[in-house]
Amino acid sequence: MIVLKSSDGETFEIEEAVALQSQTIAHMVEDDCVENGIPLANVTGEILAKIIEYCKKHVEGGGGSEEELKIWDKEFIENIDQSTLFNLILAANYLNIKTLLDLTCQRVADMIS
Amino acid sequence: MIIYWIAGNGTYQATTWEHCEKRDLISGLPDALIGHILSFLTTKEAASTSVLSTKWRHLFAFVSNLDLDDSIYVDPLKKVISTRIRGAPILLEEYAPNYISTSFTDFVDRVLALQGDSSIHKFSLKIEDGDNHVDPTRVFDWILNVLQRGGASDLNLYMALEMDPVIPSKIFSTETLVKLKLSGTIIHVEDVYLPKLKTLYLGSVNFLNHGLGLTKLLSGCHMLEDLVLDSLNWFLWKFVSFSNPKCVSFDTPNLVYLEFTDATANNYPKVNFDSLVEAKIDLKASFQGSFSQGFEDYGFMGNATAFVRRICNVKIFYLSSDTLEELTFCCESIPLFINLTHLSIESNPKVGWESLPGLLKNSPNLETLVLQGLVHKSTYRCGDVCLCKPCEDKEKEIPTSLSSSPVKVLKVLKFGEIFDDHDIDEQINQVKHFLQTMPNLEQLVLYYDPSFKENVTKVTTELQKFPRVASRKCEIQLISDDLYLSSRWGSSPSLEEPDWVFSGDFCQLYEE
Repeated sequence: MIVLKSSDGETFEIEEAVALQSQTIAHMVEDDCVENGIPLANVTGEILAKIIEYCKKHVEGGGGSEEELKIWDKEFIENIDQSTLFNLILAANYLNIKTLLDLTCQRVADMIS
Repeated sequence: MIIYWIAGNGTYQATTWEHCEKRDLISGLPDALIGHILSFLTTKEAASTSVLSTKWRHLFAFVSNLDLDDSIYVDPLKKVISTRIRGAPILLEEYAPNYISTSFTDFVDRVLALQGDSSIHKFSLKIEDGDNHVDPTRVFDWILNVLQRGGASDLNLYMALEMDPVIPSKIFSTETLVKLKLSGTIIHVEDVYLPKLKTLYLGSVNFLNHGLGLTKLLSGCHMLEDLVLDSLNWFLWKFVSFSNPKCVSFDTPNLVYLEFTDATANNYPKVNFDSLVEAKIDLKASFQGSFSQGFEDYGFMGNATAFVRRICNVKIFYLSSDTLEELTFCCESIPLFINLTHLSIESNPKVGWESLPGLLKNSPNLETLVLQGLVHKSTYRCGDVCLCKPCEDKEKEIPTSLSSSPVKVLKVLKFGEIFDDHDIDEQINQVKHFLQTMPNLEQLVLYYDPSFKENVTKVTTELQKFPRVASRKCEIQLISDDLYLSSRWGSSPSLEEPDWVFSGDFCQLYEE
């Protein structure tokens, strides 16, 4: 299990497989600096909760079929407000979660076009 | 509050939140992220954001995916070009066709100029000539520009020009390429160095030096996993070609998927399909003959034996009717297809099924057999696979390719498709023959051609009158666009009749 600490003091304990979807966290695990939990200075608890929700769903082999995942992603991304969306983009970029970054950026692109 | 992010080159960057708050949310994002977002738009839309402000203009350089398609410019019906600035549509004046075509090439020039030297990952270009002639030299200038900027991993060129242009051979030594798709060009292969290429798709291309060119290209991409060679132009014409490659080699140890349409070469000196899982092969015969002698009198060139011998490790195999015919001519004995679980055969009234008994016998692990059509040329060599002409030589060993076949699922496509001398009775009898002979069959599915509805009643009546079947657990399904009919044989041994389930419009056709 890995402990993540948001900028506003919330802690989240999650399975390693879920956390490893973030390349940033994966590197930290490799470098073995996760003893006392990982502080994420610029991700608030609210955003981190959303990210964990996404990562839990997308853990390999657990989320369901490709079609089901697509439908889930669509609902996930359509039910968040703009400022949450942008914060998610920044956080997904910082945490280096490619699939979430692409999902959020695609959403913004759809809004522009 | 300070925001950190990772820029495209992997370094940490920082900016202050207050600095962002003043602008709208999108503009507040770091440049690289805006560029990433822009790459999800079509290139035209992304380019139009460059008029928003000078900052946005320079942001366009971060868009590393370019997708350029001239269809909206060349289509004479779409004479009005519309674009959007700050959400409000602006309609530009109607242009004369010539102007439109020039404007596409100008557009691309401008897009590439805006991008400067930044590297581009994905470049897709689709050009159809139409009435206006696009100068291929300009097109190749664009391609060379993109390649020279470095970092290109995905290149997709579709060209339908009046004269096929010769593609710059520098493409084949772009070591960053992972995916390459080319269509409508002439290929002159010089040096090939594509160590990262995993996907190669060549459609309607012409190699300047025939088989040698293809061999050379393949030997330069050892990591290739997906290969599609479609309509290589050695003057293919219907079933035969007038010239063929002398020699083709497939040095592709990592290839997993192969789709190959070609004329049979004279020789296949080196074929490495160690990793091949799925293959779709359409090998056309090449013949030597003259029209004055008539079509029947020709000699075959090409020998696919070496190719077939090495493809025998596949699990999934699709054969066109031409390939089926080639198998008859080239292979004295069909190799053992030890891993084959799924086999799909295309039938053609001009091609016999002589290779089929051998194929079935040598596929000990076959589970699914798909016959695209049942109608084929009658010959004496169909063995026990079909009923067209029984083997008259009583001394010959009784054929057992069907009766010892492990096939569990048999699908017949285009069932009911009628050709000149053939009628539905032959096809019904053929299906009955399968049911009576194949001991491991669990499912027989007939995909019925909906244009022959008048025969449906006849088919189902005949199917219901079956005597014993070889496999008691076989389920029969008849599927068409608007009807579905299935039967299941009862588990009790005394039950000779199956239970039938009907659904769809068929219920009205069937009178009880």
